[in-house]
Amino acid sequence: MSGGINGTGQPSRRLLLYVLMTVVCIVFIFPVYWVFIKSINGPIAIFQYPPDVFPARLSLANFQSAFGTFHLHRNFLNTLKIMVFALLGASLSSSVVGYGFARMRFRGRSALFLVVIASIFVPWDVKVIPQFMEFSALGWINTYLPLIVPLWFGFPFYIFIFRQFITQIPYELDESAILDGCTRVGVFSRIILPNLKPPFITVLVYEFVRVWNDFLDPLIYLNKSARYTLSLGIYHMVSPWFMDWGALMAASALSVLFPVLVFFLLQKYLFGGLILSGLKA
Amino acid sequence: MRQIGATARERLSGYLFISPWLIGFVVFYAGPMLFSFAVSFTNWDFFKNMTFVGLRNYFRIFSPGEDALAGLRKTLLFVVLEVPLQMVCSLAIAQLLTEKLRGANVARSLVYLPAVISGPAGGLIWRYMFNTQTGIFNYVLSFFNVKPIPWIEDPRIALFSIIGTGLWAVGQPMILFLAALQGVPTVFYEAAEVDGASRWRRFFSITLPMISPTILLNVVIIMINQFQVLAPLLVITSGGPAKATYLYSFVEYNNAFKFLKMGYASALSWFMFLIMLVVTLLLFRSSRRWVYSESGRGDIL
Repeated sequence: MSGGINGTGQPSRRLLLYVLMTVVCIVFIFPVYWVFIKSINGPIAIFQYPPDVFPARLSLANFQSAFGTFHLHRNFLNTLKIMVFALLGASLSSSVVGYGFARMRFRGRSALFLVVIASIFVPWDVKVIPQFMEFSALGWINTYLPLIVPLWFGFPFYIFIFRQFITQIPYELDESAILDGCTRVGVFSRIILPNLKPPFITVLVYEFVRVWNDFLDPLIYLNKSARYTLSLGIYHMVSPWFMDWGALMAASALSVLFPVLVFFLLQKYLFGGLILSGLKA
Repeated sequence: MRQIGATARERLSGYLFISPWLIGFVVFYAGPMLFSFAVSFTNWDFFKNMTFVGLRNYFRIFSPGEDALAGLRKTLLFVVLEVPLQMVCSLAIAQLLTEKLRGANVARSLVYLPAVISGPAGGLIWRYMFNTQTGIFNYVLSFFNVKPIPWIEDPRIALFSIIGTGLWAVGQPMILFLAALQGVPTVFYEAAEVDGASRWRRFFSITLPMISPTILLNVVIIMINQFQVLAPLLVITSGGPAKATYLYSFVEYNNAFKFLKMGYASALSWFMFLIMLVVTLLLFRSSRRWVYSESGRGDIL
């Protein structure tokens, strides 16, 4: 409760709350801690029993096998390729569409915007089977096109974020520019776009995390190992016959590292978007 | 301010601005989904000619001995357990973090952290920790003289272990709850305390009704996500042991992308969509009774 009244509880209750919070922190951070520790402890430490809860040695052998045997760098590069086009396409197209929904008046606007909102909630498996049939027919299997092209047509959640932000920009800005002879495209590119830094950062952070972690779509569309993305590559290191847990820990640690860094540096934008979506919806 | 009547020119440019989404929606969503709805009444598998089979694919979901029916039962059990657990966990943590504690911001970040970790990386960490002989869980339990538990090797336990891993990823609902809790006006609590209401009483009589719109939103989001849970099953248990974690979504995935039975898989996905739609609509309908809204209308969209 945010009430000031709760700030002045009995000391024993405060202590209990601190203990609880510490336990929660440890529970949530421990798996991440564990993967980092196991990645730098060398292959011997993987199934050592009892396990060293604190790192006992430093060895980069796990990383060597992750890069050497499993071509982790290739998967990194593939993810980056998709990333560039996904970030560009999703943010640009969604900002344009968001502007249309925020500023233009046309028949069916509210109904269409409701469709945008509803499609945020459409389950993945309901749209992936139809899309899989379509992209197979187009010959897009084993290309990055299924992971990139749809994003250039606006991403519902990002359209929503841009639209919400643009409605908060005073409409007088648009009007005075139109009176000065600016076209709508001119208003968008010269007046609105320069003001959209906060939603752009929110959308880029989201999209970065989404593409970086996207696993099920690459799993369905990419089945040549040379095309694997980072998370798909990690999944395919799992095998029923033999698992190199050391390499897996190293690869997992690296794959966790980047989103975690981005998250800690830019978390206010991530939370901002989330809260916006939750309260305004 | 804005003029009342929109000019034809403005209307046209409106459609132009939203045209990327409109085209994408027709080409990548609505079109393929209609196609898949049609395919769900055929036996299409990419190779054979498409033959109309009526409702046979839908009947097949319920035929005894089919993985789909068994998977559906497990999925329902999973959802019935996972949704309340995630709701209680995320709300409890959010409530804890609104107490003015030092370091609450750090705790908030740490709790959200798993949400930015990929399915394979996160799943593998759990799989590693679940190891019966050398995993950390059984190591810690050994201090309390608990015999090693076969977390993901015993068919009776595996599904519950997966449910446990889901509680790690409550960052998103927790953040929404946190924002909602911080939005409850403090005067309500102050007035209640003056009247001598206990902490629990204040929680149930003020907090819960005030955050009920967020409760509804979180229930819907979590439920939709849990009905289609797939990544942890693929990564942690591969559907096993003895099909104990071969949930409906996994059956659907295998039929669609392993066996390429597009007709049956389409029927499976449309049936699941129907279930989710019905449950969501029921939730929204019932929400008029339990969701508080300042405008007096029980709608959140």
